[in-house]
Amino acid sequence: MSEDRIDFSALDPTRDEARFERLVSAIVHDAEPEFTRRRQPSSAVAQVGQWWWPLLAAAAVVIMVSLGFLWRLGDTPGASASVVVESGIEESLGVPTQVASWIRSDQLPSTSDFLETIEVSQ
Amino acid sequence: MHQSHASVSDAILVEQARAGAARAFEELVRRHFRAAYAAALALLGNQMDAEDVCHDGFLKALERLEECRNPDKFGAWVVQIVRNRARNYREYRAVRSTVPLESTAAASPEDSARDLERSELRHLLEAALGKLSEVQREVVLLHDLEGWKHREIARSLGISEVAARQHLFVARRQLRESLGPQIVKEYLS
Repeated sequence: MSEDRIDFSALDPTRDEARFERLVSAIVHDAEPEFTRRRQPSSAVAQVGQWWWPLLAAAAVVIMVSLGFLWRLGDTPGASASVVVESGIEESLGVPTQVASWIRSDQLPSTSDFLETIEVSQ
Repeated sequence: MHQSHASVSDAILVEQARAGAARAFEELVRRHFRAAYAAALALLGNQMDAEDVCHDGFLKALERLEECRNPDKFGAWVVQIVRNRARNYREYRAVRSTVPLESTAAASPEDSARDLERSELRHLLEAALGKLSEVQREVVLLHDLEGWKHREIARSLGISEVAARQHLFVARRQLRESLGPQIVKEYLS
């Protein structure tokens, strides 16, 4: 007996059609300001705001690829030096300032200068 | 008027409503009001509060329509919004000790005898539902009033399908006991 569905139609809000229509109309009426807002063309800022998740994901991918690229450069001394000379971003890659100036000037340091710089940087 | 949307999927209606189409949103309200009402009634126990919370819940859903990640499941999403608002309203009501509003159906002088009978039956049902636990009320109303499947109910309430079936079984048995065999036989089966 308890397997049988109980007839709750007395509680059904759609049973009284006139009342239900009033309920729906009231909701749609009160939603009109929101419909109006949505129909207006959105500003550039709002459009960018709608795309912030994809933009964030794209930025994350670019950062990951860049970090991977820089990390590989750090593992390849020869490549690192040539790129460093061309790009001039030695300091940002962690190259000691003194070493960077030697690279830029194409002058070989003296042995004592080199050892001193290495000791300081360590 | 709204029949033109009858065969359109929820996902398309949500997309149209996002663009400001009132008719599309109206169709969504028509489709899912009863489920939202069942959830609200299970928590609040009376018709007027449940209708008010559904009203606010649908407006809130419209404002937050971009957050509906799976528009094909708009119904489950809006029911969750209404459920949360019903819980908040219940807490507010408890603090304010508001006396439940009377049903307008019973107050109208033009009520027919049948309407009065239905109104009385509604009060009996609400009283019997009040003796159930919150989850039992929601399970039995979503299943028997709205026609949700056990799987949908389980997912919506965060319980297992087995638990949903058990709650339904117990709820029906207790309702029949509370209402008595004559009312059940005469009106509810």
